[in-house]
Amino acid sequence: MSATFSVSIASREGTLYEGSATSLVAPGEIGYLGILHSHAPIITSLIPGKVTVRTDSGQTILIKSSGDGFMDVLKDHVTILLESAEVVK
Amino acid sequence: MIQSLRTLRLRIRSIENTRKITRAMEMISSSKFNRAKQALFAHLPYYLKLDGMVTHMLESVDMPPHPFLEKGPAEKPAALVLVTSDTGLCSTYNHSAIRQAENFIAKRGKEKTMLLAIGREGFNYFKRQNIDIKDAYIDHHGRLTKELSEKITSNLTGMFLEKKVSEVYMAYTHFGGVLRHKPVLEKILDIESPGEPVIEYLAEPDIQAIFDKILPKYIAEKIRHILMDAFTSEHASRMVAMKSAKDNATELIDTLTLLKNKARQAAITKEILEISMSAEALKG
Repeated sequence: MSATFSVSIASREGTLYEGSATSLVAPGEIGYLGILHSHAPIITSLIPGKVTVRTDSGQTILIKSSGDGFMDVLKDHVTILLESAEVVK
Repeated sequence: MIQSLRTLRLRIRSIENTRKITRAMEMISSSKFNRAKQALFAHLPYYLKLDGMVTHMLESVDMPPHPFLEKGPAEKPAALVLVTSDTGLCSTYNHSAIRQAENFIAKRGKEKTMLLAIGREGFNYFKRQNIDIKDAYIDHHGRLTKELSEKITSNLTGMFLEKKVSEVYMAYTHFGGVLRHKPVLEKILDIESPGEPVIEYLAEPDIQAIFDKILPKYIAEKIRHILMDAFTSEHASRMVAMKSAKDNATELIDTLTLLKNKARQAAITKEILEISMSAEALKG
């Protein structure tokens, strides 16, 4: 099993995902960026697009974001805030 | 005796009407409260995370400057936004928020405070005290619209950026449960740095751009959240006040009904007594 980190994703309407993940891809302003375990602290703004989370049980969660957002990675904890978004699957 | 029986009946009827009204008001408040609470709790995780993110950013080593982080001119007054309700009948909700504002004004002095009122109760109170109110947002009846929070946000940030005020505070009631309402004074602007910078952040595209984007958003969401909090508290206060009014009415009706029955029984006894006495007299 690969190393995991914790992820919390929230929109203004509520929490979308809260748990651990092995990898995550988010739509950064200058291109999609992937996050893995032990990523350096980074803060980015996000544009509309898809956020993909691969959970430790191998499931893939796809979230469609239709507004601006922010992502903060610090000490193996990723926080994503999305203006308006919904879980696709 | 007959007279008092009638007055008792009338009183019971009038209290029954009052109970009907208070019950209806309780039901209305309770549905408004549930809706407000749902919105508040849905917004809470987003707001808390945004708050945490901004705190992290303020701890960043290469934090760029931003007008929201600078202290306003000290000689200017501080803006205080007081959140109250538009109507009464909500127990101590308005009173405690107003007292919070009064303490603030007493501490800072009238000249050093610029008061803004959300809600008619606070507005009327300070108008009676002859205190200038810069702006008032009234007749929203505890309904938070996007326009309202945006208008307040742009007004407050505008005043701060034009250096008309030194700081911006909000006095409101925090919802800590149906029976727990805590008056709170919260600083909105300037944003205070939590301490020494410790985190070395990478930023994409660059930290200045993110700062320029996230800080106005943070202020807007903070004001929105405070209003949601206050309005939820208002509906909860009114719901509880109306419930106790209804319960009091029920109790009063019970007592009066007992009195009424006693009076009726006494009247009947008296009548029987009269009949049997006259029958007795005719016999003799």
